[in-house]
Amino acid sequence: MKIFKKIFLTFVPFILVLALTACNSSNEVSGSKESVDFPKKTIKIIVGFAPGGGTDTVARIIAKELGKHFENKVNLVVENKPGGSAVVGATEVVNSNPDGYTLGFTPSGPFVIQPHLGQTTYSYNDAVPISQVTSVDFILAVHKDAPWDDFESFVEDAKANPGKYSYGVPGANTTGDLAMKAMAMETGIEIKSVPFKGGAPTRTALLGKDVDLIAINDDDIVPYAKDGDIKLLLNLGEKTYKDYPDLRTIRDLGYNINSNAGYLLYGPKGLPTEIRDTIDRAMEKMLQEESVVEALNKIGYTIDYMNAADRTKKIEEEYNAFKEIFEKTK
Amino acid sequence: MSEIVASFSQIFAWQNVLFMFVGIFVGLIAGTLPGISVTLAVALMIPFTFGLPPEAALLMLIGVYCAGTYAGSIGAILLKTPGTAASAATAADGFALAQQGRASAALNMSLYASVAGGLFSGLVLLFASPQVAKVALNFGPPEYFALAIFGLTIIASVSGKSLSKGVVMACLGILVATVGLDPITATTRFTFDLTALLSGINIVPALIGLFAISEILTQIEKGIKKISGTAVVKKEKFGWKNIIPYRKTILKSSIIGSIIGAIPGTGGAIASFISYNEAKRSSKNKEEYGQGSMDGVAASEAANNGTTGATLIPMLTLGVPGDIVTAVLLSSLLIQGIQPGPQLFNTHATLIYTILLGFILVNILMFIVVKFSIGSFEKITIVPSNILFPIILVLCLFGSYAYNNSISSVWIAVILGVIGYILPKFGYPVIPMLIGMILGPMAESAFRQSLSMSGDSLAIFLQRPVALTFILLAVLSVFYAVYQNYKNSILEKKMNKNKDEISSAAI
Repeated sequence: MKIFKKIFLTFVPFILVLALTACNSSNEVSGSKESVDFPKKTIKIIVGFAPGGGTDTVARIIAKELGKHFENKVNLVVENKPGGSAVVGATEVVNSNPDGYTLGFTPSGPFVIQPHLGQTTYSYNDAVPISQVTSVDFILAVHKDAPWDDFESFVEDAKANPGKYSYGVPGANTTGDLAMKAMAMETGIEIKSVPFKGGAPTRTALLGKDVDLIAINDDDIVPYAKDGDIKLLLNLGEKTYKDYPDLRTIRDLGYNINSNAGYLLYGPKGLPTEIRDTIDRAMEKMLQEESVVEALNKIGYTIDYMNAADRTKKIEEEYNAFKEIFEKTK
Repeated sequence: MSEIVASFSQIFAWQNVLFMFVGIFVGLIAGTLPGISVTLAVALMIPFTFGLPPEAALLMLIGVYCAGTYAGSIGAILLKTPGTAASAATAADGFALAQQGRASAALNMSLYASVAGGLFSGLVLLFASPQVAKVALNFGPPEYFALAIFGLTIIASVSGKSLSKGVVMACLGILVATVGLDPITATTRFTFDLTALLSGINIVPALIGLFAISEILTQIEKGIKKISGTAVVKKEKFGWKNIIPYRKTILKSSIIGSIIGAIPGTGGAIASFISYNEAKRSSKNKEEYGQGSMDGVAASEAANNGTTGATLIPMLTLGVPGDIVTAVLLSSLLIQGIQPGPQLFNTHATLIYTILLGFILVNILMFIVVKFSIGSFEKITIVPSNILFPIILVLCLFGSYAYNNSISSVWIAVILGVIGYILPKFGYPVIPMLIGMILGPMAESAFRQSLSMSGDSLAIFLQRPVALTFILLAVLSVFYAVYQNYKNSILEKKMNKNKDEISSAAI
């Protein structure tokens, strides 16, 4: 028995070392057609948020499904690099080797909002957008015990009581926060912004009545509004929701505000157009698969595909729109 | 009623039990290795849950969670390197026991206490979820601030001889935690234009550095041949009888753990510190704490596992995840198309009861698995140090990198490791720094959110009863600590005077 133990113990470290080397992620795809240049090995998708959140879960669904839609079937892996409202992850992707094997998945914030705050080493148009997958709108929601049944009565009340009411947001200077600031300016009301860290604490704050309203991304509120403690007041974006056909958008009311934020797959600075388009085509095919649509629906997202060219244009538009908001609300 | 019966049979279904074991196994490994946090382990398991039926997926993740929280104590006891922040309070006493050759006793106590805490929180989860959820909602920013301040007063009991040095370290911890983005306005603080510092000094690399790497450096310096002071590891028989002297501590700590756990955003670390402090405060042998107190180990471990069941309460009843692990559990539920909320007990009663009962079964299975393996765990304390510590060091560096896939975390761990090695030599303890790093940001965010809510009025902390309660507890705690310190210094002066009198009389 002692001999067996010795042999076993000698082999354990050896096996461990082997296991570690096997964790090397650049596996060549065997049997690939040599004429097709890309992709030939595992692609990495960097997500600027911690695991478990909406962005991360969507990215993992993409990672699971996208590989089969290329000419050579490849694997994709998700790496989390949270921090700085996703700026840390975005910075890494933007500066990566533009060979197509390092991509990022993010909401548009790091590109259209953060550069205005002077926090980024990259410029808003350094990254190369590839495809938009989905988008979220920010919804203005109140507790069911709130005294207002619609947006107009809230505005009236707020005008009469400047500084009385507070609204929660999932982060300072998120799309929703900026939309609320723009709305406050246009309606002439004074309301206090209370930033929380992420959707869940924001929602909790509303349930606990610590704030009077919240402006929160739809995937963190719409699935939870069914049980009746939460009332959806207004959509600060552009979508319609089949479960809530009466939910109006702020544009319906005549305000020029749109807090729609896209979630996009993007590549480093200098990503060749050919590679970009190859990935874009594969994404388009993937997003037409019923299983993918269903998987995304289950976690609260609807497909809102946009191709690379359109998404690049939109970055420019959104960046300028936020520039205006920042200048006006200074 | 029929759903409860149905779920009872479900939890024993072979697939569910199999995945519970898988989860427990993964959790034990993840919790033991410094750097592979329970969070990371749960995140890595997500892809596997996509194809599984909801019960199996959730029970597997629960297995990872419970086993991982317990297993943090294995590293804490055997190597003074807690695998999770929740076991940091166990490290001092647990490791001291290991050095006395009593690693077996410490590991057993940790296991029994953890399972007791877990089972207690499981019962709370099963019988009191809706009521507890309502209480959890009363916790808004002012309450979090008050709780954080109360938590900070704990440093008094873990500061060792010098309270003022402990306070200095806590302040240092709070200062270090400000690096990165301001939680409210997102302005950069102390980032020196380095992108790597934008996400701040994270807890996991800091934990690895302050506890694990500093300990390795200390061991190298002392040139100790192996951890256990005695040549052979004492084979102590440990059964439920041995727990009986500690039952009060374990029960109190389980309660504290369940209360703290039900509050979203707190967690095992805070619960274990508060519980350790309370055990020391109410103990007759206060000096024992920090030198190898079984009571201390029991308090810390019962509390941190006591949070595991309780954190599921707000997640299931309100859809509010308390931490990243429950956030992952929540998204697993959503992926399966299951909406959390009070109606969940009606619409998916069988599933819910399967989770609740399964949670209890997971703790029992974990107990059985670990009980059989403790004999092999403790052998680590007699492995020669020159083999053991290089391996541990490599794992630490790996773990720091794995935290956020960035080499900067490795640097953070190394730098804090050196700091954690040097400062105790001047009497500056390390644990208060960790407490400062955990509670400082919580206190700051909560304070500023509260002021936003109240229009900059400080009265809000006195107007809300729960917040006021914790503030009063904090004030009492400070007075008590100062009083104890005063008493001790008077006692010391008296003893020195007596010594002088005796020696002068002898002349």
